[in-house]
Amino acid sequence: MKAPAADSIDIDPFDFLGLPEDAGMEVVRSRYLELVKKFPPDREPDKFRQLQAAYEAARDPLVLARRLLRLSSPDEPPSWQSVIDRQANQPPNMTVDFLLSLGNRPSDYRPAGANAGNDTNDE
Amino acid sequence: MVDKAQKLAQKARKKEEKRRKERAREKKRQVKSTQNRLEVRIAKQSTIAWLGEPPEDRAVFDDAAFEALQGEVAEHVACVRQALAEVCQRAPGQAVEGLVAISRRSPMAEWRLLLRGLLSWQAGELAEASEAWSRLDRQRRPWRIAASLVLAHHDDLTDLRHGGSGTANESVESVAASSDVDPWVANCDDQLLVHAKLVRQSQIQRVALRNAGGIAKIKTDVTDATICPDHINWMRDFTKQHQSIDPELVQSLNEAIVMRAFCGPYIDIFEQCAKSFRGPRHDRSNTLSKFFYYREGDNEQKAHQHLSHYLKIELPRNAEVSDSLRGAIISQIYCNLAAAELSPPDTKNMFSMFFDGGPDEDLVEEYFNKAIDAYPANRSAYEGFQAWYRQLLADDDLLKDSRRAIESELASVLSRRLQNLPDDIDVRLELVDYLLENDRSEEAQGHIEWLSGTRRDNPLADAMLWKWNLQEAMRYGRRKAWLSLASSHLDTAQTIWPQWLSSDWLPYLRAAVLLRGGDKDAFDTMPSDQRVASEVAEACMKLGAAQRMSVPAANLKTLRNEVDDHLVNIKGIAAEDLMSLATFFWGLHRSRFKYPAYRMHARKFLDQLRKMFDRSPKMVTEHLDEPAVRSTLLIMANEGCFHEPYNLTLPKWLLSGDRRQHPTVLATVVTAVIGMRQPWGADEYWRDGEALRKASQSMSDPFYRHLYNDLADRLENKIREQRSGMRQILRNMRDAEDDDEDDDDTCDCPDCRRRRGEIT
Repeated sequence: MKAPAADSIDIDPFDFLGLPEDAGMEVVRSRYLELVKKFPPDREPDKFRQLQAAYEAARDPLVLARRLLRLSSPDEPPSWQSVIDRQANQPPNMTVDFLLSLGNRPSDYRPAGANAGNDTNDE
Repeated sequence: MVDKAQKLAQKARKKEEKRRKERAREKKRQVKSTQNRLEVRIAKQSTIAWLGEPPEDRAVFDDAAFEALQGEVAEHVACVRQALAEVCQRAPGQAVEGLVAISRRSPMAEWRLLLRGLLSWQAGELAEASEAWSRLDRQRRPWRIAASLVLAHHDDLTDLRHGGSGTANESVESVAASSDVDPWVANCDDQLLVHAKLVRQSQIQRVALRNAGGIAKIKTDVTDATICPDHINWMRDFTKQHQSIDPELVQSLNEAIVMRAFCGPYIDIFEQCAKSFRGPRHDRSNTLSKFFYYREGDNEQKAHQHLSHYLKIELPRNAEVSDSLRGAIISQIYCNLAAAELSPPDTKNMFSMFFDGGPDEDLVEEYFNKAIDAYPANRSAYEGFQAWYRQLLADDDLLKDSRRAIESELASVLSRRLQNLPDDIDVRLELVDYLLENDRSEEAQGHIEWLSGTRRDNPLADAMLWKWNLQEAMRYGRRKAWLSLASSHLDTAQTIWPQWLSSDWLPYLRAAVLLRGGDKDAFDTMPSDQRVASEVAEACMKLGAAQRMSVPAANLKTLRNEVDDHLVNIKGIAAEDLMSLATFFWGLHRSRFKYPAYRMHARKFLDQLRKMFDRSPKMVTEHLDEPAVRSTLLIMANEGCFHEPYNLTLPKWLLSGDRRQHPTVLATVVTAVIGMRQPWGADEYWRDGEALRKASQSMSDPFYRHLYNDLADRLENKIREQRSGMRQILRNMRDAEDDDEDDDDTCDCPDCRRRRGEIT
């Protein structure tokens, strides 16, 4: 039997992957890798085939282009709550600089060997 | 009359109301100032190396330190930097996978551990994150980052600030000494607590998300308004306050407000939103949305100004979308424009229905050409282009030269398609047919060789060499001097005749070659064991073979008369004979060898068969497994005996009981649905498509295995077509309703609208 096409009438690739329609390529890949762990081909062959098809469709520039154009001219106004709910499931990204700055020490910190008298090291 | 006590009560109520409002304002101010503090604090955060920090750790954020590194460590640092970028974007990719190259002994192993735990932390798996981070060295930066992230999940951060157990002056060492104290808490310092709070507020508590609900509470005074000026003001403030803390949330709400304005009735509100808020990554300035908005509002000129700006200036400069996506967007836009040009006149506008001059042919061609140029692998662009040419060819009044010119254009589209989508077998088969029919067998040869060198599931592709030989035989039939070659190609065709196709016609083709050579008795002297039993089938086989072998008109006359005689006495023909004829027609249809006169009589014979079946359904229902019944039903479905342009005329006897699920019945139904000009109602048959796909698995005949799958695919396309058409109709209906409502007496001048609160 033919593998189910991700853009077939029943399966929406983005719905299948549980991603918003405007999800970027990196997010799609990351989600795909996550789901591959959940549905490995040896244990869930059908699910894996669907996942593979959805992943390929979601990366297809034409599928993306069609979706983006649809987003630019919606039939119905998006509800505020749906936008907020979707975002609630996606915590904000941290910038690399912010993340690394979490490891800063106080400005008056001196390591143990540098000046024993002024050592503020908490170890 | 109001007495003194009532006045006092009234005054007290007013005062209370004033106090309540003041309290609300104060609360709002406080929340705002907290948000601002958080935003300022986060903005101030930057990575600063501490005295004595290992160079490998510094190299992760300090370019000078990174450049000073060499060898394997430098490679590992580069990998960590890249992996951090990926993880922060919540899109772990190759760099994260590449971290496995960092060995446990490497100074960068700490960072590998940090990133591993970070992935778990992001997925909400705190225990796993803590476990990974428990092995980190407390003297290094990764541990401090991890500690901030773990501590951020503590509800009692304020208490921790005073010494974990709540005692203001309790030392960290004494807390650490207590065995039941969380080691992260035990080893934290004030700086870590501040960081943990920042993470908690921005990532866990998500102040921005909490406040976002405010927009849903804003009420619009006008019932059909999707947003009002209060929404715009609210969104401006929200964007300003939360852009740096929760940019994705802000962006989503920005896009939502523009789209809500897009769906609303007021141009000025839409323009204000499109100007004030950022659009999605492919359309940051909302120019494409403006195009769609004005096109729906019938302001074509303004719409195309925006489109032109988008296509020529904005999209080419947009670095946020890849080259391939850019091409796909342009291609799809042109496809949509072509489809709009080809769509039937506006049904809500009676004037346009009667006076529109149909699509601008040059414009349609230009749009499709641009769509293909922008993204040469856009299959739907080719399909649209081909369908457009086929629509032109369906005109029976077309002059011969015009028909040839259109066929040539169509062939060139097929050829372009194959250059970019070489695996589209059906297209290649169609092109080969065209080339062979038009004496371009050398060009066809390349395609035939390509087909013979690849693996396909379409049995007609496997039969290409057979078809080529048959076609060549017919070509050589055009001149008497070439007739020997015609016979030799028929000989070759005979040796490779496809198993799925009856070869009953072959003796008639051979006889036609003899007739072409001057043997007027060629058909009459055919051996009886080579002739078919049905007289009517034989008459059509003879005429078809003669026409295909270019027998002169004078010799065709008696053959035509023979078929016409059968038509005159059609009611006297036995059902078995007509079914034999239908089987011959089905063979011609499958191998694409219909002869010119086919159209003149085929449908008449098949209609007669339909009448007979309606009178005696058992002829079909009790013999569904027989190949002759299958061939008959399928050719009848293909020739339109079970559908009209806009509705199905499937007989009840075919659809009742268990036989509804018989593969032959399923294939007949699906063929009829596909054959309708309009796709309305196609989605009611989607289960038939699925059942047919399933049935194809058990077919031993490769032709039917392929056909049933192909029918299921084509039904899916039809359903998609219906859905997109339905969307357009709903949109038109909505617009029509809006137009009706616009006819009321409400004044739309700016003063009146301002009074109604629709604009500021």
